[in-house]
Amino acid sequence: MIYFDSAATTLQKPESVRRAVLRALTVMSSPGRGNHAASREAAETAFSCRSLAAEMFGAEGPENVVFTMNATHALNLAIKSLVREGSRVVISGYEHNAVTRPLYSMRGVETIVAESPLFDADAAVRAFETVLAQGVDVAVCTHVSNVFGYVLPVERIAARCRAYGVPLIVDASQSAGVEAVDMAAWGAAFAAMPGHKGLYGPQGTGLLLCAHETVPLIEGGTGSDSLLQQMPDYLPDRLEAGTHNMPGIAGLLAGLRFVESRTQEHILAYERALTEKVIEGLMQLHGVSAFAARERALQAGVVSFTVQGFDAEELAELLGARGISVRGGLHCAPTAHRTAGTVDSGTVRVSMSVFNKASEVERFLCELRRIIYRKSVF
Amino acid sequence: MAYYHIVARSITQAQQMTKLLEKKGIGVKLARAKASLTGKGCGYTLRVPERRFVTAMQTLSQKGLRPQRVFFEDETGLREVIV
Repeated sequence: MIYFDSAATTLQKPESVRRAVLRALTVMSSPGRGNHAASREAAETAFSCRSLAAEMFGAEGPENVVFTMNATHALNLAIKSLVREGSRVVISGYEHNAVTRPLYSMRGVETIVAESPLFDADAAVRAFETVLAQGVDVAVCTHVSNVFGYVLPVERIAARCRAYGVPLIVDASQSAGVEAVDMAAWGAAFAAMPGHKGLYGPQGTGLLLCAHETVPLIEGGTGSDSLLQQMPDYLPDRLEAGTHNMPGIAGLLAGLRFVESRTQEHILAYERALTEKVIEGLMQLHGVSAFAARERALQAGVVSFTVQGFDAEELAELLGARGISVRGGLHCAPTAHRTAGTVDSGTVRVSMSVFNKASEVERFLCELRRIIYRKSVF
Repeated sequence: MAYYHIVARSITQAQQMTKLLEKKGIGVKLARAKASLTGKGCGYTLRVPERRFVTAMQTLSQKGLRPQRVFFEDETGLREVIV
């Protein structure tokens, strides 16, 4: 199988991740729940994971790194810590439902989309500036669009948010592991990321980096302050009720170490080169429209395309039947599709990981050519 | 032998303190706190030898790591220390 759906989940994981998960299942219980060997081993692993994440992504320290189930969970925590009834929230035009649905679910919250054209960084900054100047309480911006691979100018948007004193939540779902995520430099209130995409950890893992006061989503045991009936007022315990997903955390630590050893710069350059090869090939096919940035730095290892006469889901299915896994449709991001004008048709998305090869891109283009040719002939 | 018990607010803070002190060459023992030490149930302490206590506290303070409480223990017993 050729797997080009890493924007959803990276399927191929480093061997070290598999080994770490298995080891955790064998020797770890839960951190902070005793001082026996199994709990100590879990605590040591969790702490190493927090410390490395803090170092890689510019969080203040290990206490500011909270384990979550995924990026959606992390975003819900961040949004519900900052947004209140009556809040005005500005979001980019490329947000995922993980951002828009929590906002929509909250009573009396006004969400303003800072719309800007695809791959136009200056316009994105201007759009945020316009809304910020009107007065908002919170800003949310995705770092990289999960549909188009568009790298938004988060650093510049963060600077504008700081100037207006507006707390910023960054959705780093597609950027963690490939683009520089730097909480300290951005001065962001929160950054949310999954463990199972570019960090090569297992599903069921995510991180929330915190630089702002938080509100728990759930309450329960934390292994600390047990006599109190309120959740602790300090991180990470405040947001981590219940037993930890230690196999996941151990796998995530191995994934972080893998990314650190390969370096994000190298991974990005590699994925970008493959994506450019995809785009180049798509451009040569009749009836194909690929959404590609003119400026290299504005697109990560994700590309969307449409083919005249084909429904996106149908085309993804035809490719799937030929052993090529891509994702068709709206990618849980109708806001992004609305902004790009593809909400009615959807797109087919190809997304890379460091385990993909140039030969897989060639095979994909060859199969796509055959599918298009068949339809034109029959 | 006399020791100080530095009470941390969480396992994560206790680990952070331990790593920092170990880096400074101060050997500590991380343990679950006796109920009488935390006052809130379930917590962690770092056991520091008496002669390294001042350096340990200075090191933690420089990194903004504040203990919840501090206790001194010797052959006469255990008592809280105000720092």
